[in-house]
Amino acid sequence: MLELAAGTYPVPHAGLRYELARDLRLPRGSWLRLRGENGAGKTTFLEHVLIPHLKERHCLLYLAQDMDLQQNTMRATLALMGLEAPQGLADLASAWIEAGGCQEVVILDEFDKYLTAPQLDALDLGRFGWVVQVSHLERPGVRPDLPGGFELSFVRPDAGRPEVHLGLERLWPA
Amino acid sequence: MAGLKVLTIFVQLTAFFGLFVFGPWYGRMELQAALLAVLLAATAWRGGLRSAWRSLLFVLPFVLSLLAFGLAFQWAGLMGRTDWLHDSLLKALVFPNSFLIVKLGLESITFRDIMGLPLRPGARRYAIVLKAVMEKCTPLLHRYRFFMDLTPHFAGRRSGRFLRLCGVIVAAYISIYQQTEKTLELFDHRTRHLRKEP
Repeated sequence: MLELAAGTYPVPHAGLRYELARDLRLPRGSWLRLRGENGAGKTTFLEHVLIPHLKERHCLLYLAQDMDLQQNTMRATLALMGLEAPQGLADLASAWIEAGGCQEVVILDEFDKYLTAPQLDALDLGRFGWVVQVSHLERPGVRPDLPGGFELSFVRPDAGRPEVHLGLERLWPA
Repeated sequence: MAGLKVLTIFVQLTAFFGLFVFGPWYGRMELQAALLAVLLAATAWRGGLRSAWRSLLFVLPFVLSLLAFGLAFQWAGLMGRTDWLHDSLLKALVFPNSFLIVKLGLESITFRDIMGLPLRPGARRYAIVLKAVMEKCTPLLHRYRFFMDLTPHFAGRRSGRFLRLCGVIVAAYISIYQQTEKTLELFDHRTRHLRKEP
């Protein structure tokens, strides 16, 4: 189970305070989409709340929004493992994911903007226990490769205040 | 004026290395500790508490490695010496001091200072590019550390921590290389095509 207890999660340096009204409990085989306007704090939530909570219990792969930087660490990692680092980003990400040997959690922060749909399909995300995705693309109806679909919405009622309300919704199965 | 400022910075750096690293105050633990406090305060004053904390985090792995080796050597009584731990503690102060003072010194040299220096055009070009690359790449180190700390590829390996650190260094090297190329290109383009409006 991928879990995050209900509560308040402050991130002082970003001036944000996340309020999760009920426990986030996702069974294996879940897809979690993070939805919210630009600046709602999705990436901050991922990097300062969700990932620190998950990394102690789960093996996770994080594909960040600033891939132009992260690809340098991917190349370095593959080189240190004695593996070849492909030139193209899709192949590089794929090689990095394979080399990680991690099948638990994969987190993609707007990573779909770097890949075409077939390239994304080739990553075979369905093999992971949990897929967490920030995406501005249209929400899919159902992903047949993942039995459970959820959406966590980020609502910031007042941009001048730190509160961000997090609302969880089940997308499928109904 | 710029020449004087840069000269003062280099004199201060030379004085630091002459006194605190290779000179008579190297073994003065209390002076090294006091200097560390001053340098941290200066870093916090210049870039905020977060910047000072980040600088500390950056040097922490090196400092911890020094202490770990010191402890191990002391425990093993290597070469019959009994001062390994004391020596490591000193190095654990000297290293962050050297890092912080060089960082503060180089950061205080502005682009305007470089323009005011009596340098040949080629040397000025390299000085400007060096400064631009340093400014661009230094903050990236923290991001690279974040990525490498998360990467599961070295989990369970005894040398995992070391390999992660190597990953940060290699990524930083790639970044510096890319950034230098880009900045040189941009610099040359601007000097070739931009004219000051009359």
